[in-house]
Amino acid sequence: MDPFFTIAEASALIAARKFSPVELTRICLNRIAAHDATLHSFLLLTEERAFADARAAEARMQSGALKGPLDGIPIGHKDIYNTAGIRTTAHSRLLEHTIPAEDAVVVGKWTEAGTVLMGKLATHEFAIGGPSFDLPWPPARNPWNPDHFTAGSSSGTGAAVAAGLVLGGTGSDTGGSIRGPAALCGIAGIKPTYGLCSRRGVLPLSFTLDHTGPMAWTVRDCALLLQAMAGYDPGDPASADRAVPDFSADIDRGAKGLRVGVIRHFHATDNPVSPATLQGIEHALDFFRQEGAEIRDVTLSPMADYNAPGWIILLTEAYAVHEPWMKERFNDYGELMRDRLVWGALVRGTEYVQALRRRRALCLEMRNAMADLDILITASAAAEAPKIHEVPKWTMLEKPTFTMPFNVTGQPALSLCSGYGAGGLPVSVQIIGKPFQEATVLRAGHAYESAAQWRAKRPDLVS
Amino acid sequence: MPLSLDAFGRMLDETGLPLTDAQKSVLFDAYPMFQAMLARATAPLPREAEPAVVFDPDVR
Repeated sequence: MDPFFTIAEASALIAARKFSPVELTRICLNRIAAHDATLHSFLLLTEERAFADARAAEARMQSGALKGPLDGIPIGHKDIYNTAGIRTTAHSRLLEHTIPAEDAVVVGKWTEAGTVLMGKLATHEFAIGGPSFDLPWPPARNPWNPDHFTAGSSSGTGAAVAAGLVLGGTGSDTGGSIRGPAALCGIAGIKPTYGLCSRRGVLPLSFTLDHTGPMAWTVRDCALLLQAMAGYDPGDPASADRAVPDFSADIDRGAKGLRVGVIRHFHATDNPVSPATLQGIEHALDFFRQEGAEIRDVTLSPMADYNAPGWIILLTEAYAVHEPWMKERFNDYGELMRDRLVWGALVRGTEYVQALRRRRALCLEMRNAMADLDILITASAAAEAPKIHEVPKWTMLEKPTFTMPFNVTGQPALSLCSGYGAGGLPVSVQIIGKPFQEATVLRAGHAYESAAQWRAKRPDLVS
Repeated sequence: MPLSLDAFGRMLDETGLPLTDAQKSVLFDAYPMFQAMLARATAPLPREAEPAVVFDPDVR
């Protein structure tokens, strides 16, 4: 069996000229050939491009001209990220044959960093409609058990990273679409602060809630990928014009001295989590306590109070994006996408503005709650992945999610593996930071992940 | 008084979306959950409360 590598491991070997990017690409392609007919994580495989990228990286390696830690690293992009000359579909019949002329800004940045593009990865239709079985491509499956859901919408990235088909990939997160698949697929994914990473060239879902960000097997790998994504883009109206710190500089500093707030009511009463998820959260808290972190409970408004304005804003903005197609090509959408978006047509202008006013009040509440804290901890998903055919259509209306509150507030939030449930499916924990304090979030996540042993195990399907 | 399916259907007709009666019925069943979410998102705030997004005249 071919070995698995993290980005950090592969990068170190490539830098030492002990490992060929072409060989690494071949390992990933072999794994894709063996397993993606089951997982459906790729909508398009760009094998020729991958080998061209890998050979270029190998030439740089041999001439001592490597571009950095991502040079020669196989990655994939969620199929809402525009890729010049490469089909970008949003997993939708409406864009089934669309070939963009330009790369999304962050796609260009990863290319410039030397990444090897393996292909385009499955998503929920336009990042909201899924898991759907009435689209031109099937939904991605969870590598830990292909009968189960990956979560969405960055479903292909979650599945492909967990199965080792790529070493990292892009996700987007409007209500939890990076952290949800990271949680259910047992990997790491960070939604950065709103405005840290450009969204230009990424198909919009909700302008004031959309975030781009990385997903990878480990927190350290997320830091490396985020480094190559972050930065001011004058072409993105939401982009933050501020210096980008070194996200890896303090990542090995450990958890000592961190001030940790636990939003216990989110996962204990607002949406009670499974026993395995609760055990994972307590395991993480025990670690932080033993490392000398200061831990106390934090009380916020009920989680549903954060979800309600988040979803009203999301549905209204998404409907504004899609209204012309919804009227003219309604039945070209999948059922889940079109039915969910209809709610956006029923929101009055005053109701949208009231939701925005509520959002500001919640941002202020969160800022005050974190005044003397470094991070917050709660769940990132309620439980292990459900069966893919048992995912309810109205999931966002039925129960509040753990991820949406931090889209509403825009602060950075990381999901990482915190163990495995009885059925062998992963459980997760969420670490949240103050705006633009990704380095602290990554440091805390890496400290826990390094101490825990969850990264030693890959899905049986690919092991 | 709860909204009837007919009244809900007329509200959907105003959106201009080409929904079938079957699609309207599916949405009608979930409408109470949507209404509850909408009510929670729009609970009264002080008159002077500003929204989260304000206009930036320095447009780029």
